[in-house]
Amino acid sequence: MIEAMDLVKEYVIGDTTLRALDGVNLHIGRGEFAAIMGPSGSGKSTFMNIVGCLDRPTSGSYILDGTPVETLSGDALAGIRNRMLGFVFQGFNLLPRTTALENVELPMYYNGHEEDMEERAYAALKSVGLSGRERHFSSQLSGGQQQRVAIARALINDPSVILADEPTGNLDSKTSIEIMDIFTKLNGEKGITIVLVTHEPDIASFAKRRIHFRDGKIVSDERTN
Amino acid sequence: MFILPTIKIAFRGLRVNKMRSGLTMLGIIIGVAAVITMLAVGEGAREYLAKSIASLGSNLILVIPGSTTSGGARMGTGNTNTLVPSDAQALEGESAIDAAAPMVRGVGQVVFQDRNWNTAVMGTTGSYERIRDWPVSEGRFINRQDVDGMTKDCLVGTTVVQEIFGDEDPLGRIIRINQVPFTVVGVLQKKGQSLMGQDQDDIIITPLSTAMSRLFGKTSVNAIMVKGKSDSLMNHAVEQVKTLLRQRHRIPEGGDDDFSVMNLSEMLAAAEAQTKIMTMLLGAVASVSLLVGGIGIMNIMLVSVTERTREIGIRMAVGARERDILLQFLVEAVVLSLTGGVIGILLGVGFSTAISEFSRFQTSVSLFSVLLSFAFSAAVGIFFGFYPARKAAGMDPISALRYE
Ligand SMILES: Nc1ncnc2c1ncn2[C@@H]1O[C@H](COP(=O)(O)OP(=O)(O)OP(=O)(O)O)[C@@H](O)[C@H]1O
Ligand SMILES: [Mg+2]
Repeated sequence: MIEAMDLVKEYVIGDTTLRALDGVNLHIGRGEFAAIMGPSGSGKSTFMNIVGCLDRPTSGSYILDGTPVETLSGDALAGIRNRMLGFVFQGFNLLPRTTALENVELPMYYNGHEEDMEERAYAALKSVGLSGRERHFSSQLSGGQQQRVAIARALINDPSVILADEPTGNLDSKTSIEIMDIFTKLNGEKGITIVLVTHEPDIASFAKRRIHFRDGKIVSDERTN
Repeated sequence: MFILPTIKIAFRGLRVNKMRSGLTMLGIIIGVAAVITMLAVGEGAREYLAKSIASLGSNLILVIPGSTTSGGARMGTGNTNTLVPSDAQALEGESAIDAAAPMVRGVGQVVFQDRNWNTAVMGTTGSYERIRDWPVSEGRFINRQDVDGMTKDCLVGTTVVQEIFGDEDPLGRIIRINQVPFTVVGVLQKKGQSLMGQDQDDIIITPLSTAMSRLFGKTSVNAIMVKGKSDSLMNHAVEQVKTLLRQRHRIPEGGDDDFSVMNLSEMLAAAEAQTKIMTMLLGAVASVSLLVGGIGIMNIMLVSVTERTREIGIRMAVGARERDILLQFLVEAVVLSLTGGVIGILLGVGFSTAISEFSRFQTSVSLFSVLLSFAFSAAVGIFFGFYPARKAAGMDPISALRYE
C-alpha cells in the first residue's frame, strides 16, 4: 500500500540545511495498523505529510497503491487525498462556524457526490457514535466529539488509508481510548490501513506495528502477533 | 466541483459574517444606486428636451428684429420695428426655405357669453401650421383669404376651449377678443408644454393682418419663423435669410444687421448633446464610487483569505483542487458585488422615483442603465476578487494547515 524508498526531506533555513528525513525506507501493507513513535523533531509529521500527498520529498520515491506519487500533478494529488486518504489531525481541524454535518459533507463537495450527501454524512456520524449532534457547530462540541467528527469526515469517501498525526494529543486518556477503539474497529471491520503518530506507548499499543523514528531515520520496527 | 454548491458555500460564508458583508457591500450599493440615479436624472432631462424639440417642429430658424450681438458684444435691441410681413413673403421664395410665418404677439381678454379669460393672442399666416407642425383637430386653419381679407376668423387652443367653452362646441361661435368679435373656425390640436414650461395650448391664433391692425395696431412683426427645406440645407437657409433681409433692409456693406437669426434646431440639438455629455459625466463620477466599492471588496477578500488560511488548508487536505479554492473565493466576491449591485439598483430606482415624485423634474430609469450596473458590479466582483482568490488558491496546504 505505502512504499517509501530512501525518502529525504530537507529544509533550507538561511544558509543551513536541515534534514528532517534522512533516507527513510518503509513498506506498509494493505490493512496494516501502524504506529509511528519517536522524540519531538524526529521527522514523524514530515513523513506523514509526504505519505498524505500534502508535501513532496526532496529526493527518494514514494509509491502509493502502485502509483509513483512524484509523477502526479497537483490536481491528481488532490484527487488522491479526496478519495484514497483520510486525515485526522491533533488539532481536529474542523471548519469553524460550521455544523458537524457540513464538516463531514465537505470532502464530497470535491468529488461530485451530490445526491445522497446528507444521508451518507448522517451514517458516518452515526458510525463514530455522534448521532443527534449533526446540527451542532464545531465550537459547541467537546474535544473528543470534535475528533469523532474529524474521523467521520476522513471516512466519508471510503478511503483505503487513514493518516492520523497525534489524534489523541489533545484528549484525556479516557477519550483517547474511545477514539482508539474507533480506529481499531475501522481497521478490523473495514480493513482500512491506518498509520498514526503518537508519543504515548499506551496509544501505540493499539497498533499491531510500532515504528520508531530518530533524527529523520527509522531506528526500530516491531510487530505484535 | 459544481458551481451550485460553490455558490451555496459562498452565501453561507457571507451569512456567517453578516455585518462585514453588509459593510463591504455598502460601497457597491452606494456606487450602483448613484449610477442609476444619475443616469435616470440625465435621461429624464434628455427625454424632456427631446419631447420639447419634437413639439416645436423641425428645421426651424427664428428671425427677430434688432441685432442682439455685434462682434461678439451684446448690443441693445435697437430698433425693433424692422421686420415686416413682406419680409416673410419674400423669404418663402428662397430655395432652401420651405415656409416662413410672420408673427405678432400680444395678450388679449377673451369673452364668450358670461365667461372671460386672459390668453396669448398671436397673428400669423397659414404657413404657421406647416412650420410648427400644428394642425387643427376640428374645423380649419386660417388661410390666405383670411390674411388677405383681414377676416375676423380665429383658432383656439385646447386650454382656451376648456376655460370659456366648457362642453360646448366652439366651432362657429362668436367670441370677443379685446372687444373685437371673432368667429371660431378651428380648434388647435393639443401641444402641451413648451421648453420653457409654458402652456402652448393657452392661445388664440388670428390672421396676421387682423391682429396687426385691429388688435395691436402694429406695422411690424415680432418675429418670423422660418422652416428650412431639410436638415442638410439649414446652414444654407440661414445664409439666405441673412442675405435677403440685408438686401431688403438696404443695409450697406459692413453695416450691422438690424435683425438676428437663430437656428433653433441647432441650438436644441446642441442642448441635447450637452445633456448627453452631462449624463455621461454624472455616470462617470458615480462609477468612481463603484470602483471604490470594488477596492473595498478586494480589501475584505484579502483579509478574509488570510483569516481563513486554515480553512483553505483543510479544504485542500480533503481534496479541493486549486481551481476549487479559486472559484470559491471568486464566487464569494461576485456574490458580494452582485448582491450589492441588486440592492443598489433597487435603491437607485427608488431614489429616481422619489425625485420624480417630490420634485417637478421627471427622471427616467432606462433598462440600459440597470443592465449596465448589473454587468458592472459582476465585473467589479470578478476583477477585484481575482487577486485574493489567486492568493488563496496558491497556498501551500501544509503551511495553510499549520497557520495559527
Ligand atoms: N516547514 C518547515 N520549515 C523548516 N523546518 C521544518 C519545517 N517543518 C518541519 N521542520 C523541521 O523538521 C524537523 C522534523 O519536524 P517534524 O514536524 O516532522 O517533527 P515531529 O517528529 O513531527 O515532531 P513532534 O513530535 O514534535 O510533532 C524539525 O526539526 C522541524 O523543525
Ligand atoms: Mg509532529
